[in-house]
Amino acid sequence: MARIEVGSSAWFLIRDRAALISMAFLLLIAVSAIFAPLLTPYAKQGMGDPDLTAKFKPPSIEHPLGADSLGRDQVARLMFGARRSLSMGLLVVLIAIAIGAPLGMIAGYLGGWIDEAIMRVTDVFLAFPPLLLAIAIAAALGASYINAVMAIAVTWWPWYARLARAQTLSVRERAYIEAANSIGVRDRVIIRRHILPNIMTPIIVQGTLDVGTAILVAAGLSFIGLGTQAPFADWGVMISDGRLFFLSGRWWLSTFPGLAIFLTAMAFNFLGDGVRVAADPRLRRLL
Amino acid sequence: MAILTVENLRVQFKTPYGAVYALRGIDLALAKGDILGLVGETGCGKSVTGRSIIRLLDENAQITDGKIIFEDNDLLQVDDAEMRRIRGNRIAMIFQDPAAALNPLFTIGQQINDVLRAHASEAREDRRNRIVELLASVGLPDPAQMVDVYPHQLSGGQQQRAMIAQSLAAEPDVIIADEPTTALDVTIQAQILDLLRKLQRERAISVILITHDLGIVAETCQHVVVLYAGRVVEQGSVAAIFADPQHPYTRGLLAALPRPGGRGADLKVIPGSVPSGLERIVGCAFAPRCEHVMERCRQQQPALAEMGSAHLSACFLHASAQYD
Amino acid sequence: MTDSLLIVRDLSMTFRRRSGLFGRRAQQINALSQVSFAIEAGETLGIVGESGCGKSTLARCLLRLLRPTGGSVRFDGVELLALGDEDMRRMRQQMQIVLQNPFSSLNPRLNGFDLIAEPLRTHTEMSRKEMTDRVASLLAEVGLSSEFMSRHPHQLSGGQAQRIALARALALNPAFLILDEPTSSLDVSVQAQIINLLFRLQRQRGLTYLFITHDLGVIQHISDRIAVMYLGRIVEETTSEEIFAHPQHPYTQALLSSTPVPDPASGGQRIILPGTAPSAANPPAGCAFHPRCSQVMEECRTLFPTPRATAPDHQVSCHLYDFAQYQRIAPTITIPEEERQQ
Repeated sequence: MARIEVGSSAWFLIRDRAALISMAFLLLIAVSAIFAPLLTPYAKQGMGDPDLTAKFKPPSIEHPLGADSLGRDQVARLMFGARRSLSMGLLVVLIAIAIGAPLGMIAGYLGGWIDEAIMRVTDVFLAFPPLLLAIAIAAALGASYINAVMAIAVTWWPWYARLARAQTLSVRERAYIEAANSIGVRDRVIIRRHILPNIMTPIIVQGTLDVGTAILVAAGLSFIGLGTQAPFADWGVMISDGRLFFLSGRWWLSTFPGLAIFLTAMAFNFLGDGVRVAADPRLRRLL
Repeated sequence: MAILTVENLRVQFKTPYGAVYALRGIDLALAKGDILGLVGETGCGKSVTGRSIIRLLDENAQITDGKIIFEDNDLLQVDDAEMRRIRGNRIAMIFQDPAAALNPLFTIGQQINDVLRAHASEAREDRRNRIVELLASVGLPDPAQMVDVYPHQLSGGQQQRAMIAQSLAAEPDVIIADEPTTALDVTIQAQILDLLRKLQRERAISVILITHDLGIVAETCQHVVVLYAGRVVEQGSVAAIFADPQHPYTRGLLAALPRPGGRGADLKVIPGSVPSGLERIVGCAFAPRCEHVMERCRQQQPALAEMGSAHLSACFLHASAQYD
Repeated sequence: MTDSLLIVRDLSMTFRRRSGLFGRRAQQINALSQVSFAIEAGETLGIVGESGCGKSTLARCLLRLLRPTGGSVRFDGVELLALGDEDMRRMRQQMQIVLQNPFSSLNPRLNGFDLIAEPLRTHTEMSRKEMTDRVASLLAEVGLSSEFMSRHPHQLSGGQAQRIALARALALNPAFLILDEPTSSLDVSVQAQIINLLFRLQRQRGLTYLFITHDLGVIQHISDRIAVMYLGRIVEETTSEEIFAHPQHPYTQALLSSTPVPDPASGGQRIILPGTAPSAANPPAGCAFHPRCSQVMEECRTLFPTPRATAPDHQVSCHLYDFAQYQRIAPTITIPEEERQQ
């Protein structure tokens, strides 16, 4: 394992208790998602196979979180659902950064009409209510896991473009950019080698904070049927499926996936906050 | 007669990397009506010394030992309320960057008025006249108009003058000036140093002038204390120290300055760089860079030894040197 | 004078700033006005002046990091202001700049190797092995061991960081270096190390320097010739010895006299200039120095003085020397007391 240098950002991050617990929790979720087939005896059910003998079984030793309307073990469903929910959250943010950050850097570094054009496009995107826009796009593309991801990412990239542009504007004024220019380094190399690494920290912080929100929005799309399709499930689908039976006393069906979303989103927020503090020497003394 | 004495002052900073020993036993005395230069390179502890005196250190700093005697009181023992009274009324501080030390939201007049209101009991109109007087005394043009001007409307030199006017408002006995001209141009620096000399002459204010510039010390101060790695290595009258520096570090510093007539010749160099403060220093802190280093220097810390009238130096090269 | 490496003629730089609604109010800032000088190969020209005098703008115009609005810059016989962007980019191999504060001019995310190799990557097709050898030899040249290849700027002292910046500037074997206050962020003992290093490099490589600073002690130590700038113009230019022995312009005299000398015995009478330098956005009419000048005359308020030679190889822009021709006139014109109180 790499040695963590005293006083480095990583060192400050692990000293932040909330961030540390969040990291452990997210690691647990990620491990149980990745190794789900090995960790549960109900792997088949996790992927959608019904077991009508266990229909609506309340939490028990056999099914710690109960079983759903098709008798599928809720723990297995949650573990397999985590694969989709987590990956949707991460993919949305990664795609949004991949589109937004380069555009923001180009706008900020080159300025002029290019800047104007890119920023006006982001304005147009930001003028729509994001969830509504995502619903419209997802509906237009057709209901599927990947289309839901694309739809949310498309509403999200302008935030990263703006963040990257603002950061670039300040980094552009640093003396080392002028020094690189005086050597004759080309613009694209300056953007890649000198600007990108120096604006990454705030983008990573924002991204970490956003994964939780992206999971929520993805769950929302799945909830209204525009995301993951049966027989697979994510946490949003599980809440949606379970809500019909909530009033008839099968509270465990919606409660546990809801709790999973809540805790995961919260963990990403604590982690994002921790990264922000650890990466900024001025905030470190808050620890 | 000393108005302010610092004895064996030790300060350390808690950092994530461990404790930084900023001051490792500082002794100095400011004579009444004197300008005392506190000189040294980055990290020698000159600013920390100034801030310790008015107890304005960062929160991670800890004064572990020592006394700061001001008129029979140990400033390290008085309570916060008393310290606030002393700071401002009796001891004022001028900072390197006046733009950062003045509040941008209030006029110069308002900021000086705050000091007057806290420290004197004059009527409002009298205060206004007093502010105009103060601004005139530091050489600001159109003092009557300057009262209602905001800091950003002033040039750097004028801001520093306004800062000085503010620090004079409570008629302090001691001014601590921390690199007051470093952010200014030479011609403006000359004006501000001239002003400090004038204040010292006309108002008998005692000044501690913290600087890295030996030229400023030579032209402005009567006495000088040379610091290295949180300790005093040499102190004495400016005349004695510039004419006959004793400590190898002081000699090195003076020799490293480019001088008229020496064009193209190699400058004398002190090899290496200052210690970080993180490591525990055993022996003389300057030993690793010293050309006269002896075995003893690496084990024992030399104490200040008398070199002549009011001239002290801490080095084992001196016959009378003792270890500390 | 035909083999001057750099010949600058009437270089001007005007910044236009638009303000007001829809930018209807345009403001002109003449950062440089008709700056002319030449530097011989292997020589050092010192540019001295206070903040806002245009010395840093001058450096950036010479490298075309800023595009001058007028004049000519001939480097090694090539007119830089006529070059296309790509040709200029290649020309930068020949001329490099070292900036004041190495901690801001070195990208904090790169290590010593990447910092020094950057110019090599930009302009050459070296293999990794060749590059490592080259970086190691450059490090040795500036007095650092090969260990510094893996160090990041925050792990360096000020002197070490400035050495890395120098190695980087030297990587492509330039003929000409602009040094923009390279020692003013350093401590005295380290400043001496860097100045000695600059001398050694100049001797070994035959470098030509343009040395910009506000520190007269440093500049007279390192320069062959010195030009004094005030508000975008060169007001006096001559050899280093001459300017310290016979400063002619009242501004130069005040500047020399304002600089603290580390010798308490030297305490002579100082000329203390009143006021501050005017803003380039709103310069006074005539000679820009006249509001602060103790010897101001009627024509100073209206006419800008043209440069005159008061001695061979000594140019001064001041009305006191309007009738001077190769002879030194002591400026002893008497003026009424009330006029002097400007």
